[in-house]
Amino acid sequence: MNRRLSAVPLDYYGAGLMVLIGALAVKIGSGYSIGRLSRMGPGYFPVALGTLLILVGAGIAFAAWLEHAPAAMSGDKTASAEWRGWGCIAGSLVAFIVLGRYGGFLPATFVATFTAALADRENSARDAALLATAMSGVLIAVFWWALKMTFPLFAWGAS
Amino acid sequence: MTIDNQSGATPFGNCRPTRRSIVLASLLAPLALPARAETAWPSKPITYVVPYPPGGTTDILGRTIAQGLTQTLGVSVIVENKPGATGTIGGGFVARAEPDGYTLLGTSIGPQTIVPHLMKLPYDAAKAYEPIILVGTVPHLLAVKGDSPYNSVQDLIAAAKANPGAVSFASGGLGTILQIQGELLRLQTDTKMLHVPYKGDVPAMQDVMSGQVTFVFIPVSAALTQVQAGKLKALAATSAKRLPELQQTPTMAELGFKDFVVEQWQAIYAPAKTPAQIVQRLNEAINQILKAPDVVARFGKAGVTIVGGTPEDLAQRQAADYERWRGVIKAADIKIE
Amino acid sequence: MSVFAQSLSNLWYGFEIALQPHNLWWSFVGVLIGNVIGVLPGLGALTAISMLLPLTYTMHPVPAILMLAGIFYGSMYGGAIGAILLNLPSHPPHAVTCLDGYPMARAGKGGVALGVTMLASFFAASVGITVMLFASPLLVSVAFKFGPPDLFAVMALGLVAGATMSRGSPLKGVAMTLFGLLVGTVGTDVNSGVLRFTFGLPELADRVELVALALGVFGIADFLTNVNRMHAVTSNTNMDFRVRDMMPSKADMKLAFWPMVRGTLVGVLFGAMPGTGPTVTTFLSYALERRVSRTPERFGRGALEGVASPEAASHSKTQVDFIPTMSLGIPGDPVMALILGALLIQGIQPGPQIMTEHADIFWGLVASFWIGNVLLLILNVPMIGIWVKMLKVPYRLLFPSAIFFIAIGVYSTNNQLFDVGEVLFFGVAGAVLLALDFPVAPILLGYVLGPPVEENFRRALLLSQGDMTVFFQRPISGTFATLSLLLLAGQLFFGLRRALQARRRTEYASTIGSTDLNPARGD
Repeated sequence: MNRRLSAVPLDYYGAGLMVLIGALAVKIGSGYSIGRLSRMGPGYFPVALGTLLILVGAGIAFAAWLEHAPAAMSGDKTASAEWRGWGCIAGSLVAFIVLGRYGGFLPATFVATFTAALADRENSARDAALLATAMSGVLIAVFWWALKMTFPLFAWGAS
Repeated sequence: MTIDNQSGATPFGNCRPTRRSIVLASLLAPLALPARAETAWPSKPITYVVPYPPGGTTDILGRTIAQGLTQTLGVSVIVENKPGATGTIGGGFVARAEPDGYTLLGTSIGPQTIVPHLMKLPYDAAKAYEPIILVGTVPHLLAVKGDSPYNSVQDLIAAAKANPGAVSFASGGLGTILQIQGELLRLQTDTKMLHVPYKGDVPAMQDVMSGQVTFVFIPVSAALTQVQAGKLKALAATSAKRLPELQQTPTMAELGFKDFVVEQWQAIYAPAKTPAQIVQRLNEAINQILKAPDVVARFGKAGVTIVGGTPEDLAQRQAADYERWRGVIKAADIKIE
Repeated sequence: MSVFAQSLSNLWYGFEIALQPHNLWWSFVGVLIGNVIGVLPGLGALTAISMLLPLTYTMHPVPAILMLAGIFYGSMYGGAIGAILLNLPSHPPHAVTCLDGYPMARAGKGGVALGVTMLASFFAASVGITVMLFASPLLVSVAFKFGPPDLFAVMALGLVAGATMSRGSPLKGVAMTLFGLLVGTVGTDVNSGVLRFTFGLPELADRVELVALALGVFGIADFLTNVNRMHAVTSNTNMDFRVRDMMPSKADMKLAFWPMVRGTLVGVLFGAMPGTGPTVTTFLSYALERRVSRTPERFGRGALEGVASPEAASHSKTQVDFIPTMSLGIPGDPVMALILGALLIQGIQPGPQIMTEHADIFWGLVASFWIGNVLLLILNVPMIGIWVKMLKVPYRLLFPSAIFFIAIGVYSTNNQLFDVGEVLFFGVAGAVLLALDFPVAPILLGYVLGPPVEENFRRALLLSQGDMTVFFQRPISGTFATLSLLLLAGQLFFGLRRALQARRRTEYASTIGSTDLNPARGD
């Protein structure tokens, strides 16, 4: 097991996140009408869930304090953040959405696969381009031609 | 396309020749094109938007008509399902589309005449489209559990009056024509009835069959087999005349309910400002398609009565129902924040 | 005895129909298409059927339905391959399969996991078909006994069992279930029509897309977690396995046998309950397996039982479910809803008379289930070696391709690019939660069960006019509600006791080694 980097046990962050989500749910949920038991409004369930989530979050923090050590076992997960990987994978999906809308699915596929491949440090630009070309071929052969899915391969200037 | 090669022995084998003729016709369609090509339209594929998922009535009708249009117009008419938000996502898509005759909408009564009174939509359902044609209608039944103590609509109303709140009605969801009819009955009889919404007509019907909810207004197409099996009892039909399949079941009008002819309808629209000659051409083509025997058969199986007619007929029908449901929704105080 | 004979003669008739060459052909086509599409990440049964459904509009009803059903279970087999080898559950019941299947694949035992999955699926489907054949009138009458309070109680049990089944802290499992339930409330509220948590986005009015959620928290979250860290893992495992090692050994089969039987039974039991869907079944059978196991700490790290039992449960549930679905017209999940739609298109109204009025379709379908499962076994077992080769594709090429498949697959479910954005959102959320050591599978359970739980809860209280005791007045809901309460109380009690013990221990022990004392084997 790796030594944890942070002095604050991981579970306190997790507990905090749950309390935060629960509080948000209660806050937004109470904007919908809550109603009464015989005729519950749309806000009843979300507020109840949010409240429970806050309680469970508190429970997680309490348990972490009780055990004195965080329950998180996998030390490797706290290693330094992998910004390149995260950026490229997120960028890949964003590229797919944007290009799929404004450029067509063929450029979207190429750029998305290319970007995703660059997430891995071992891939050269050439590898990435080759893989992107292969996936573009798959798009045309499998999804466009064989499965007859409805999307434009090219859509330059479409709104 | 040799799907039915050996199916002659089965009960449905007699459908075969018609289907083959469709295949044949679609192969020959391009040959017929030059004769009808005085105008530039249509010169590329037409998108036919169905605002519901595949497999429902609107989808079946849409695909049947798209297939017919592909033959008559000589360009492919592609059905695209854009489901969501009770039909208003696909409806909004077509409302915003270019009015060039290459985008059509096959939709139903709900998004056109009911939902606009309940939700703020990003488009005006009454003005965003050019009506093309009223395809068909589906009548409804007022049904209770098979062994229910209620044998007539009067029994039901008497029970609701004697014990306010004890009679409940199921619906396929808020703002569906099923709920509107229940509210209409409640208003007309001045009783207290509990509305229990479900996600879809069939789950609503099931809880009536198992006795959880008292009654439901349900499309004949969905309820007929259950009525025949005795799991449901039909107390009345909402059609203008008695239904051929259920001759003993009285209509609401016969029972003395005024203004209770309610039919779910299916219709086709184009975006507003689509050129009149394109609308006219589509109307004629679809009227023709609706007369084809195999189309009649397919619609019959889906429980739809074919209507057809002019774009003006549809416009009138929509306007009348739009106002009618506005009144009911206001009187029944149905609201969505 | 006459009922028995009647069933046999019906089955015989069904086989006559299903074995007619052209029917058999379309069944085979369906199974093959389903299997191939099911393997592609992001394309589950739902996508496969909705893409191919329009093709059947012009077909004869019998082959059309046989083909669609073939696609359905074909993609269930295929989906297991993607779940086990790539951690990509395209069909939600497979989310549970991922939990232990994927660790097995990473440890070089992917072939074993696949082999056991196929055999368990086949076994469970066969049992399910038999039950369906001989108990159908009973099943239909049972289905009618379930009202809103009963459905609520059954699903509540599923939630409690599923929430606490994951490795690690039960509280975290509960938290993730609640999070999933919250995600499930996004969209239009059925009872009031109010848009909840949509943040002004019309695309969210129809809930978060299930496939996007599943592939986000499993697929993308996994890639985000492992990118540039995978090399260490792959070099650890022996990737040069031989074909012989890929087939389950006798010991494997022995280990998997009782879990498979138990899973099948869970599936059969739940098969009769309309509207419960296969997902809750898989979670329950996994939870059960973990509870009866003498070594629960192996679960989540590649326990064969954790693969065999849920897969069996989902297949037997699907088969048994078929009669209530057909005779009531109540689909348990969206896939069944599509198949019902296909029947409607053919002018066949699901209903009590379907067995007599459309005997060719009904019994032909029943027989074709079994034939299709045989075909799938024949098709897939020799292919295991080929599928496992997918693992030999270097990770650096595998995950970018998978991202492309996910993007196009998720797009295709609604023809909406917005859903690809949902994948991204839940991918990042899932990766953060994984980093904080939360289990992600319960999110899916909460999401799937959220709407029916809320609807039936509200509906039950609407009909009882706010009387909470309604859940304990009926025998079915009373039993299940009591069970869930007991389970919940037990969890809380044992969890608290364990935590207290751990605290007492750490007070004596040195703090550095404390992680080893952690209750990782929490049940």
